Amino acid sequence: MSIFTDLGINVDNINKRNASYDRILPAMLIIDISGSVEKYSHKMITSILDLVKKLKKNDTHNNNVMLCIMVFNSSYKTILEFTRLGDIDEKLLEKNLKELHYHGRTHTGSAVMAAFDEIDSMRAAMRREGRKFYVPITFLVTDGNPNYTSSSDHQHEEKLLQESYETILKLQETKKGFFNVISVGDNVDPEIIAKLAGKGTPLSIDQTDIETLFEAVSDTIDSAANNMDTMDEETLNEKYDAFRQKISNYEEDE
Amino acid sequence: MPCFSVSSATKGQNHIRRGKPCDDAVFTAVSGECRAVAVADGAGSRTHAAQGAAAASKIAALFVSQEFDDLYSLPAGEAGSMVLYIVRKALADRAEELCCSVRELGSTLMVCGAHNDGRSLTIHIGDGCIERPEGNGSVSVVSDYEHEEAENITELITSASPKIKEHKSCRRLVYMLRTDGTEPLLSDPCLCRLIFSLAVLLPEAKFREACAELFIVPDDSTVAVAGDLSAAVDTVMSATDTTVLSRLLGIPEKTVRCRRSCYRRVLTAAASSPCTMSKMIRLSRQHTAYRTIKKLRPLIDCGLLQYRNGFFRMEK
Repeated sequence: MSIFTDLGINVDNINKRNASYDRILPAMLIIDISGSVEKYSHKMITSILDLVKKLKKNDTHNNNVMLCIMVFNSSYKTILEFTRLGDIDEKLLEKNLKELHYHGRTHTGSAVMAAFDEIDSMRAAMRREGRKFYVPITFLVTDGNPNYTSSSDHQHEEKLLQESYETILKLQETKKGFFNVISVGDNVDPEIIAKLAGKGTPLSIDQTDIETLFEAVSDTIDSAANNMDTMDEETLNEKYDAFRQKISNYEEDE
Repeated sequence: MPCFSVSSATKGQNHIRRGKPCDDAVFTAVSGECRAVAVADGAGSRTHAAQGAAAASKIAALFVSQEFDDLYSLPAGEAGSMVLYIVRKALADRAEELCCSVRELGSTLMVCGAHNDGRSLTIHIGDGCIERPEGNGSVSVVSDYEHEEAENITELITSASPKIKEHKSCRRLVYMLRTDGTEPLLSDPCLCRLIFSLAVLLPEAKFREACAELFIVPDDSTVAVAGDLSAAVDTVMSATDTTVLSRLLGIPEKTVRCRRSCYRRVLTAAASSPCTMSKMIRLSRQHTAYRTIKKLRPLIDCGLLQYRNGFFRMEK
């Protein structure tokens, strides 16, 4: 007979309680929905939904991965707040994605800063609740360069862009987050994209490769969530470099 | 007064699912009057984590047990650096054998060396936790790892300049070393106390069975308890829940409540050195050998106390 049965202790109850002890992997997608993206909006919607579906197939991810999706053009909007994969209502997400209006300009700076605020709130909430979490992964997908309606608009956005460059660099230096920049198509401003990538290398893919891109994003989240083993900073950096490699491999295949 | 050690390494559920080996390793070494136990948690992200953890724990335990006196007399912080240096040298040799780079053998390391004269030394690199269960039921932390931000980043013995936490004491103490895989369960002080009690009260094989049954957790989980046996018994007999003690000893709870202090005196004395019948008669506050044996029968029956050649002993 088991020692715990002898002691009158129900190990199953302990294990059930243990199941709720989790360490969260926060993942954030910042998606550009400016006017120029409209031509492949359908691909974008199906790819995001496929990403959620694919990740949800893994029971562990349902509990341990928290996803947040933010979209931006001239303004930004969080269409999915940090939510456990298992709790994501796919129908509602699909509805929200389909209701998006692909128009306006590309104000990346304000969106990136808002995304960091969202991550900070999530961190604070987790600390309050005594929950443990891993280094958040962020993917910024954009297809354009910033264009402004007025000079004040320009100044404001430039200021926010500058702030986001500094925040990304700080994030990378303090190892408090992984920020991946993926530019889609050839209408991007390489200088801005390079600055947004901070110390990392920005990725660029052809707009026909949207599905491939999201597959790689999904694989990266999957791999990070599957490998929540002890590691050091160097390995963690390598892990995300592998993501970049993966994308470039796809490009070569094309 | 003898020191003791008990350990158990349980493979994590994620490792079982992925067909990976247990990346935790634990090694115990005894040299003369000193005993050392080392626990290493191989970094899952490294290709030869299990081999690295095995090599690191083995060399660290052997080195600390053999060189305890010299290490203990070194100025604060130097014993840890010395152990790290030796472990790294051993890892370099192992890497050569395995034809891989040293970094692929990365692991954390916790070592506890205890001398029969009561001195003890702990060295801790990377995550995991070294704790000291107290007689009042609380668990005090000797050294742990403060994650600055995310939970999956830690320092390894192969990191450039890992932080070494070292602790020395000349008091008779008992330590519990545990890898981060145990955290889902042992961050609960009740379970932590229970595991400590089982480590002291059960034979090692049974303790391992209990750990295998309990640690159904994602990561590999290793627990090692080491230190002064009489201090361990004293702590366990003071802090263990009455129900648990009554089930382990096979006697009613009411009897445990009446006899707890007697059993504590008897076991603590027997753990320190073999006791004669007359000493046991005095400690158990009985008048005859017959009544003493009768009172201590539950301890003898469950194997905690041995009576042979006219002496009572508690051995682990």
